[in-house]
Amino acid sequence: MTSTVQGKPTQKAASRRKLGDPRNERLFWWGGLLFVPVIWQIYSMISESPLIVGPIDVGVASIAMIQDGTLLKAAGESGLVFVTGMLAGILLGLLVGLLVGRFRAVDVALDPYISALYATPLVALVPLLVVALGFGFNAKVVIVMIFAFFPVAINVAAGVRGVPVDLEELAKMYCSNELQSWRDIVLPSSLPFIVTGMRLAVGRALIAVVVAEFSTAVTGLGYLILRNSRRFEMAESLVPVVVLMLTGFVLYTLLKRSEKRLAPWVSGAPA
Amino acid sequence: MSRQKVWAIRLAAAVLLLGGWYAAAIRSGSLFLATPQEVIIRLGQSMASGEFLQYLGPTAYILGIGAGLGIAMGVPFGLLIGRVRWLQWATEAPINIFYTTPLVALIPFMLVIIGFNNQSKILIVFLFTVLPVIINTAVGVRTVDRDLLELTRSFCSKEAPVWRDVLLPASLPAIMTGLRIGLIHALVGAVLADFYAGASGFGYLIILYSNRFDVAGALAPVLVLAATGTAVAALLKTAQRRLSPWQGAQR
Repeated sequence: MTSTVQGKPTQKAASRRKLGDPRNERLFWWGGLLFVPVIWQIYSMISESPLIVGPIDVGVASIAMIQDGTLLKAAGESGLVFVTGMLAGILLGLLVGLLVGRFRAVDVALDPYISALYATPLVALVPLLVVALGFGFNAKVVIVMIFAFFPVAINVAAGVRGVPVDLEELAKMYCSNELQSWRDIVLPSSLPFIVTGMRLAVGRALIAVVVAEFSTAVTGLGYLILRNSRRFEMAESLVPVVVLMLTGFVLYTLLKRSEKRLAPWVSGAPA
Repeated sequence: MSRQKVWAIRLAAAVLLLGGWYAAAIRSGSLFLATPQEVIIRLGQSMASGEFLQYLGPTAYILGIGAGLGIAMGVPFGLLIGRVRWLQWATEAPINIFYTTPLVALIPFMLVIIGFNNQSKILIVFLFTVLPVIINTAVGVRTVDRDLLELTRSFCSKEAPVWRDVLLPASLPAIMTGLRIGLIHALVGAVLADFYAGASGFGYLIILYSNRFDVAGALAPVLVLAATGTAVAALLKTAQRRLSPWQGAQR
């Protein structure tokens, strides 16, 4: 991000370049990060409405909720649904993605459906899934699994399709069998795509967890949000939201980092 | 693989999937799954009775305004933070945090503050749309060929021509990607808004019929939503390919 051109800047350009000086990056980054909570806090203090609570209220509420155990219990319940559903979705996505990417016939047969369902607002299916599967743990896991499946399958398929043909030909020339070429060529070169799929799946799976908990049984962070906001306990209802935010951000950042490490040459859009 | 073979496989897959759906529907009983035929018949009935349009209207309204605002604000803002470096730094953390947040979690909160009305619904759709639009637009501007930008500087080009001749054309594919993802998110937002923020629209129709165990009735709007999402994605992907044939469409 360094500017390589040392032109003769006009007065106006010079002042802009000063703001964009690389040394300012940290300052602006932290400023931007703190901007939203600070404005929010000030607004909550000005506003007379008891429904507008600031970050400090949320912090106080979170301490109380940690101490009486409600937050940890809810986070544990949601976490279990999230992890189980994600794992199932990733495994299924890997399997289907590998098959679709590797075998042209499977690709031709399934790709239209996978693309169509990826563009479908899957939330619309949630009420039906609840009717079919009930209000329990299984229904939630299935909902999360369905949401996590599509980005993984699509990205894995793209990764396997993109395996360099030269390498495959080389492997064939040396009489490597299917298993060996999977182990040595297909899987390693599609690994970054698998991680991309997982990164996109995290966001969708978190949505699925919340939607599932909104519309099924009385457990988890989603339920905590719903219950507390219906009692107009705004600070208490924002605590789980913050937990979800942090979870999403941390997982996304970690996966993004490992993507960069696995494939530094790819600079993908954060689509 | 020849064309005929491709279509043969597609046909076989379609027959297999439909057959599987039929078999599953018949085995599980009408309480849990409806046959494709029932869904189509219900869709026809609901279109004929006017119920379809009655519920489509509110959803189309919140989608139009929410997604329209999201695009109208997201694209310029994305262009700006893609170009101005200090703005990029300042907005990076909040935008990424909000993008990775499951925005659904904020819906109950918005309902208490704003109320069960169309304003909340429009806000929900707007929030779902605007973030992917901003992010993809900004990435598009930021990844414009550096050599071209240096060239414009060497020729002392003013800011406006740089935008017109270099930045906008070069970032168009990324903007289209943003629009595609934004509109698909907008559909999700609209369904969620209908679910939670008041009894109107397509989402509500799904809930209504699901609660009555009328699976065919609930699947009909789902089918329409699926078709809409697929059509939007396909259209924008085609447009993107037309506009920038040198670039493979990204997901």
